[in-house]
Amino acid sequence: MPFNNKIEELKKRKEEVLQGGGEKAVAKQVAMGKLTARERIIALLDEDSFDEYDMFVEHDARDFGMDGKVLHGDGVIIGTGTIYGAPVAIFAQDFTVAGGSLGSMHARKITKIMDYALRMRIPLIGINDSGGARIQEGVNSLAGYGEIFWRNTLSSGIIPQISVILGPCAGGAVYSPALTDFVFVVDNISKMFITGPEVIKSVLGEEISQEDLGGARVHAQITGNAHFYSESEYECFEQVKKLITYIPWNNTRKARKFEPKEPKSSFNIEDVVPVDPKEPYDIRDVIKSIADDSDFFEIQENWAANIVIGFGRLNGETIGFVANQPLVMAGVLDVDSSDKAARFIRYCDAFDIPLCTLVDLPGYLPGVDQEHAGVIRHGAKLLYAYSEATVPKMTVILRKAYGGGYIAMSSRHLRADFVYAWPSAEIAVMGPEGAANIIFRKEISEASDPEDVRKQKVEEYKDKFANPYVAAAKGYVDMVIEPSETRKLLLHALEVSSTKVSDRPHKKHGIPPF
Amino acid sequence: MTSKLNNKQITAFIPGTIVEVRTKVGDTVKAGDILAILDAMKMNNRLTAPVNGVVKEVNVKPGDRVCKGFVIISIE
Repeated sequence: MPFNNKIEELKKRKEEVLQGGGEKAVAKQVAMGKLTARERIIALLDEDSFDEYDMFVEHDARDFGMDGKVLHGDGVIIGTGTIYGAPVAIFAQDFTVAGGSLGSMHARKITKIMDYALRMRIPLIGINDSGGARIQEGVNSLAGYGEIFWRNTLSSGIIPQISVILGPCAGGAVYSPALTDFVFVVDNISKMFITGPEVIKSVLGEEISQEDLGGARVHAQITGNAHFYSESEYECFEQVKKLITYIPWNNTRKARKFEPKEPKSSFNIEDVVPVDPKEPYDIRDVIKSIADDSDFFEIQENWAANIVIGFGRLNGETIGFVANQPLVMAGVLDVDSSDKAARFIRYCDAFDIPLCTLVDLPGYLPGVDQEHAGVIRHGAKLLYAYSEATVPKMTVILRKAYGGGYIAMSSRHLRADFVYAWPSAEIAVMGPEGAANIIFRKEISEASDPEDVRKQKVEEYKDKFANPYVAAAKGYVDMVIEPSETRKLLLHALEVSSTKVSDRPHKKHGIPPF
Repeated sequence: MTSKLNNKQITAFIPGTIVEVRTKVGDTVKAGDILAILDAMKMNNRLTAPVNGVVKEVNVKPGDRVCKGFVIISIE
């Protein structure tokens, strides 16, 4: 065979690159409880689907003894493959090669696959495991980060961008994940921070471990930087794969349609919600009693849990669910829950995923800390996101919908397409207690038995206003429905809204209250 | 250690009235067990054990008004 020698050489070259940073470095990676970059790609993608590009790229650093140093693939693996048959572009930083540090060629490989993903309009998955900038390459390394951030922003809203943090991701490097749509973290493995424990100690004198500063739990529970948390890398990959099934390849396509399935009989919507509006329940059970196959894929489960967001399906089509959670802090809106929901709504709108909003909230959380944390500006994000969204918007008011909370939660006034209310709905400017105290202040204070009159007035207000019929009389609510009809009506709504048009005046872009 | 990482205390997220106390010092509790009910924000909020453990302090009785941040129950 004429090519034999050449093929042998190719094989030999490939074999060398496949060793990554060499036996010792790989053993260290394993000792840290981590998979190697190649193992990760194989675990995530469909079997035999990965095509690697730029395998033979070499770094071009000449200073600080870098000349002549071999760094296989320059510490990052890039290529394309499929997940459940859907094409994706992927890069995975290889910590075994110079600590996955980012030099100019490393960055150029990442930006190459990013450009490719955008051009082909396919999702981009980045696996981050890197010590940070390659100091020997100086400002070229910073330039590399900048090029990545710029592309993240350019691609935002066009192709889905997913970041999987499987090692350190510190300093400037964290801003690429932060600009992407979904961030996955794994317990004990992911570490994300802008300034690490050493810097904090030397500047502020405060001591904190990497885990307590920016570990997986911190970002899943406290900061909200992470969207999905898992306890192992394999569990994490299953989550990534599941997410891919709900989202489209790009913003001009619909998400894949599945075979419609009825909810499981174990979730009966009428049994889930207590009649007494003071009794809490788990709103996720309501979602499961509505969604196909009672399947709900929750996002940011452990952060700002007073609002619930995630994907489910209706009639086989992906739906973004946004719902107040009466089980946590009475389901109030606050700084974090507004941020959380607003970003998700914008995601769904960008990728043509209809929104279903379930409303049961007492209002915004009062308090000095909330006001001083800027609840005005953060709360406004929610109003902005709902108002801006042109995807089909369906709203179901289950029980409480008071004050600003009523307006914010995808009300008719923010252009919900369908607003349904259960007979248990209470849609009013404020709760009966507060309203009676204000409206009947004089009568209450002048009564011989103020407490008695107060109670009577509260009841009077409750009877008259704490119901769905005042709003229905104005057409703010389209239909007052029985709980058991909810799924059927949502399916109808979806059917008639598939050809929805939504004309907006042209603008370069709006100015949301970031 | 920041306070948000200390999840062994149950504090009031907002001022309210304790409706019910379902535990006492020395009880062994599991994460998710309902330990008390706080009436606030138009809701009988369930205060659940954040972790498995033994109840170390119970600082309320039914009818008590609590202010925001008040440590209602702690577990060790």
